[in-house]
Amino acid sequence: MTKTSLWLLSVVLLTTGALSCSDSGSGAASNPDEQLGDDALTLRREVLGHLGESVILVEYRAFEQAAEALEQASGAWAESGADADRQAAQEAWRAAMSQWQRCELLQVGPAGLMGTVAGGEDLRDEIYSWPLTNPCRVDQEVVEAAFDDPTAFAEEPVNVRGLDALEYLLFSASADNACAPNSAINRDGAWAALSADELAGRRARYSRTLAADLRARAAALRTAWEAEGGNFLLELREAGASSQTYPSTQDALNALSDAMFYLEKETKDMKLAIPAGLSDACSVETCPEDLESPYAQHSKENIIANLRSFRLMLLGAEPGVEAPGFDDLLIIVGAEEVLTALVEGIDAAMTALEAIDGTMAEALATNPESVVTAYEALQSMLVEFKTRFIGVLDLEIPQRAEGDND
Amino acid sequence: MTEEAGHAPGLAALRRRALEPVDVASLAAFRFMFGALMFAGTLRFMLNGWVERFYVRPTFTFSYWGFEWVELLSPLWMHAAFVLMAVSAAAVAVGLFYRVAIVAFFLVFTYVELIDVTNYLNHYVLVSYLSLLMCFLPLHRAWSVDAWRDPSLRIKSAPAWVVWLLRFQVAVVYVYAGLAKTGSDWLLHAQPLNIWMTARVDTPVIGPLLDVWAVALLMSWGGFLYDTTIVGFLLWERTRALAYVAVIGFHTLTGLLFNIGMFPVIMITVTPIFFAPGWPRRLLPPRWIERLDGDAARAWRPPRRGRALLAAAVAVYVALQVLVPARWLLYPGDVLWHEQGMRWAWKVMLREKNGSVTYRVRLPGATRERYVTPSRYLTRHQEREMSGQPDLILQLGQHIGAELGGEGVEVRVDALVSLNGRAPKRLIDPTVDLMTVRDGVSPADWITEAPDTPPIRLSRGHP
Repeated sequence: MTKTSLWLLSVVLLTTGALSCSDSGSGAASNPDEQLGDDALTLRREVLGHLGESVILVEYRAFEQAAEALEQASGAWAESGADADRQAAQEAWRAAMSQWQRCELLQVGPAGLMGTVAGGEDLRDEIYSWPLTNPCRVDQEVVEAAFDDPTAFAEEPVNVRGLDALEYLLFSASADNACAPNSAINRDGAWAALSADELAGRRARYSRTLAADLRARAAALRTAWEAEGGNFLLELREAGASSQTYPSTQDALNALSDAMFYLEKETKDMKLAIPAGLSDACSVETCPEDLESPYAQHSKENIIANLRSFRLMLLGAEPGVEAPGFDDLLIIVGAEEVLTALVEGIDAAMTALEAIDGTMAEALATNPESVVTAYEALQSMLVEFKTRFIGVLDLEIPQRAEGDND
Repeated sequence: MTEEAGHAPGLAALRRRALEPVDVASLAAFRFMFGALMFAGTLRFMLNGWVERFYVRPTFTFSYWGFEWVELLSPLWMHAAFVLMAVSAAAVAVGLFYRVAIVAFFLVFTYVELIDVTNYLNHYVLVSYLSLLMCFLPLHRAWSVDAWRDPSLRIKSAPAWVVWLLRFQVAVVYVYAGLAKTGSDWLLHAQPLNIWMTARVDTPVIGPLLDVWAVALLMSWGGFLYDTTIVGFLLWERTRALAYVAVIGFHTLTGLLFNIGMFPVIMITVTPIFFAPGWPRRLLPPRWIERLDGDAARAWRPPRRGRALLAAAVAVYVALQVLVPARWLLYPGDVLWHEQGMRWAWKVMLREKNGSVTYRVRLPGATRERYVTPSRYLTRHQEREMSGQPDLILQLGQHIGAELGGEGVEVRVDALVSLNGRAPKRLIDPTVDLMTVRDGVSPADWITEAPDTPPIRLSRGHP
């Protein structure tokens, strides 16, 4: 065998081996590290670090504070049983929910679904499991009264815990339950046996347990990101370098844009299209019963919070404040027109949402066209997001199968 | 009178050269490398959980025109199909029960690829074509278990046309892939490479250059020149070795930069067929060669009775391979936009297309339309692939219409698509009721005209 032949064979085998081992990921190269120092790469790292530390972590901390306030307010209501304390707890819930709705678009890493989101630990569902809500199950728990042991109750399914269950307990004052007449608690008379005072007391104690659990879950989520805790912040910041979760900065940016897709599937398609009767999932004119947060009448605020959080991820800060965000990635490559279209689209959608009079349920009853207008404005902005934003930054849509391409 | 009597002199010479016996070694090596690669590729597919993801999880699949009868099997049988594919590929590699194995591989592989259009990949098509050819070629008559078990199979040489046919198949890919790059997006605007490269700035060493538009333009031209000339350089003996180094370099680079899976490995594996047919003998130790050859001394020729039929079949196959990829020329407009003639045409990596699709359904007697999102029916992978391909948007629209009642149901679509970073534009006429459209091979008037603006240009410092 000649030397040339041997050399050629070696090159073929080494190359084939290298390619076979390298093509299962995003298509980006394997781990780059300190040998890099390009402007674009530095900016990517700045964006990732900033969005992790000054947006995601800051929002999680704010939610933890709101959860602490809710825990105190719920505790006060459980102690006194007074209407004023209940109203204070309701206000605390609204504040916590508004803050959580900002976090809904930040399901990156530990908050995300295990097995679907890189680094996902299912922590989001422990805090808020919508749309997997089940008021009937909450009523069953009220009857069982197992909630007085917070440790044991923390093992209960997510749909009897979290912000959604709390909403039902805090805002539903009905003497009736949400279960079918033939359900166990109605058949055996257990619900009917509860006096009005007993029912209110149980709901308050149950709320106290849930609020304490919520605060603990909020702390766990925040800790998962903190340097002294799980330090997921470092995973994001060090994408493409020492990160075990993100082999490249592109993977990390993909994770962030995946989270932003919440605005399309959950916000536009579920929170707006179905209640407004635009979706075939609603077979009548409008379906207000499918609104999010129906007991607190908080749907409009939730949607606005979602959109604000989307804008926060895009700009890296509130409008008018300069900070690294996806906008800078668009600007550095000369795609300002995409950024302009997105910002204008967000403004238009925000204006349309804020123009909805009263609660979303009231608007659906009196002026459904205002909800349709908001949907269309949001849809128009999301077209730009799904097409040019994703295309120009070569991002991938969420849960894209890691298949090949050519 | 010779048997070439009656043929034109040029054709006679070609025929004579085609029938000249050549060393069977390169054919045996081709069989081994192809089978081994297919075995590894199938194993990789299974171990990545892609059988579940692509062939079990979807509840709706997109059919190829004319192949609507191809359907998903049950999850158990889908997994079994991949096991059969892996086993048959391994058997092809070692030449065990070769004829049965290669036919099984071709059928199962092609069946799997025909299940869902959203899984279409150019290199899958190449694998199907090569395995189809291999069903009829004597690739198991040397250096195989079959030949070891049955000495009567053993041959020392095969007609040159057998090697030519495989070379032709590989050459078609390169030539058409090169011609496909003659569009202005590729050659003048460096798209979509510019978009893809800008997102790869953390590639070691060359990363800092990848968001410079001029580098993308350089690579676009490099890719165009490579594809259009590499076959010539591989065929010419004096440049062959250097050309193969270029093959390795080019496909390694594209493989590392872009998510193109097995494509680079396949091309690196199949291009040695361009070397002189005895090339494997120069790489393997003489003792191995002796053992592998055994007492083979015969030259293989197809059975005399079937030669005319075989020649006709080869001619038809070659004609189809030349004509089918060129059919997009029959359609007016930009093929990257309307996609008619896009598949089986070796249009590799030509577009970055992202779309937003919402169906508008009106039930009989209803006063208003309802919106239906594709995500209700598709996986995200399917949705992304569908959103830029008009015939797939049509298929899902008609499926939705049929599911919601069929008769009297009207389905329209808001399909806004961005091609290579252009502003999103409607891909399909929003006034057309998709339930009235019949998909076919004639030019589709329900697809809008392509955007007439240039694609986006991305560059650090944006000139």
